[in-house]
Amino acid sequence: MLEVKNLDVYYGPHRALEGFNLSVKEGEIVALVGANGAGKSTLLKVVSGLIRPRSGEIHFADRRVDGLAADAVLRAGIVHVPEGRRVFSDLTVEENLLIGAFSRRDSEIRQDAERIYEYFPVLKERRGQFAGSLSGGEQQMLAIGRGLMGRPKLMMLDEPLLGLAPVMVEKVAEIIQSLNRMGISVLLAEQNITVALGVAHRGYVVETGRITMEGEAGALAADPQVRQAYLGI
Amino acid sequence: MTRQTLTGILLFGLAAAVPAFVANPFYLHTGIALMVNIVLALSLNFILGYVGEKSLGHAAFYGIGGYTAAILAINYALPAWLTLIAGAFVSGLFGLIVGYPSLRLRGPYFAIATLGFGAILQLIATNWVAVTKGPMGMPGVPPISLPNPFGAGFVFSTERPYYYLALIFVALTCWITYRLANSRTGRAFVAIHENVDLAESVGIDTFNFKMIAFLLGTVLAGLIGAFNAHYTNFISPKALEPYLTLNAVTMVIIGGEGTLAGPIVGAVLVTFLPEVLRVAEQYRMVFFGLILLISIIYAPSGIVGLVRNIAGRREAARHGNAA
Repeated sequence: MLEVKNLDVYYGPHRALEGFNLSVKEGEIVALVGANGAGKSTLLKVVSGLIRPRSGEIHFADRRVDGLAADAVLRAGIVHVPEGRRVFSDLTVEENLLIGAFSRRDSEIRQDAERIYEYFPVLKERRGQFAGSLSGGEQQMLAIGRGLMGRPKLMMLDEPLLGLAPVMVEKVAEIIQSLNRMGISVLLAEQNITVALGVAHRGYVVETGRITMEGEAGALAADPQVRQAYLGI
Repeated sequence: MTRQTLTGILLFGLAAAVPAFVANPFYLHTGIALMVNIVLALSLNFILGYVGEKSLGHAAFYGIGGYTAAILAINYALPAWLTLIAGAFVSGLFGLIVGYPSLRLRGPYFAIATLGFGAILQLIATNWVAVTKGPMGMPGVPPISLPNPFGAGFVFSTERPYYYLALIFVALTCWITYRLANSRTGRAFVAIHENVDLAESVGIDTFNFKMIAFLLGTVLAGLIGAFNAHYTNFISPKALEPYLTLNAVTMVIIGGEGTLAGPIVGAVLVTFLPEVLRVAEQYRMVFFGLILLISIIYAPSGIVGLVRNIAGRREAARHGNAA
């Protein structure tokens, strides 16, 4: 479904990604794990069209998508939920959802919003509140809900667990799995390697812009090298 | 929402009734000056308040509108309805020229471009004597008159018709702002203001929407500039002074950027405060600067934001939660 081939990305003279190869198959959850600054966010930004790669190709659903503008990538079915400030705090919860459907022109946007409220009842209660007043976990739910409004085939989540309370971490992990059951493929960039590999089918380990290991999520989690490098065990 | 609409209609009804009770032309003149400021503040609010791009040459667009109308009316005897539209159009055209290259870039480039544009335009207005008559300005801009195909047109010879025309422009600007704030475009403006990267990641073409906001603002500034040139029968390089830009920025910021009520409140303050401060005429700008500074430090979302905060806290207290 998503096929990244030999991607080289630079920030000015600095190389951020080197010879990057990655794939996400239909119906898969793929974890991209690694330390801060390894290049996970860069990859997601390149796929979603926010950064141009220097060389390499990106294919999505039999279409070449590298070089497309961000809104064209979105219409192709790839939704990117960036890290950091996840929601528009000056917009209400409802407006945040509606803006997730920005590149859509159909008439089912309201219905989709209602479906997301059913799925996240806490958002429905707060639909008129400014998103900035939500808790971190609620904001992450809203960010995912906003992503769903784009009707993605592939959802790329960047550090969705960062800064969440432990109970919310579990909740968001469950949400990721249920997205997958809805038929959405997920590319998950995450530093919380235990949880990420716990929900994913496959995983890639990224170090300084290169993939150093890849394989079944369970096998990666059990790998002694991974355990030592990232879990300190 | 309905309460907001109701308040708006009520205020306009009230404003429309004023000339029926107020005969003193000085008061009507003050009202017109206030409404010109309101349109100017609201026009700047699109780009500065909603989208958050620092436009520092707004007076230039007001002045372009004024000069366009003056030149067309004096030299070519064009009717006022045409000169008003031309003022708006030419101002928007310059908005396109300034915004197209500079709004693409991230960083302070748009602020620098608009600031520079304002300065250049003032130099042109002062020195291109053949067209603008230079620093003395252009007197004799004819009053607005409504065409009448069956006889003599209706000439605006008193304050009253100008008052109503200004009120129509205020209503138009308020309506555009209100409709925009609650639309897809308005949401895009706020999203860009808050977080450009996130806005792009949800598929908003940020450059496009910045241009829309800027063009809307320059067109309306040009329109009200043209109106004012006709109303005062005069235009001079003073219409392009940075002082006027600073005034408009002050109105938007102390009132509350990115809201409908904010720039109106700001315009009321900036229009009337100088009258109150008349005793200290020399120090007017010092007071303004001080007020702007205090507002930025203690009430960054302006008076409207401050009131909203207090109201929100009271509401929360009534419901017994600490938030």
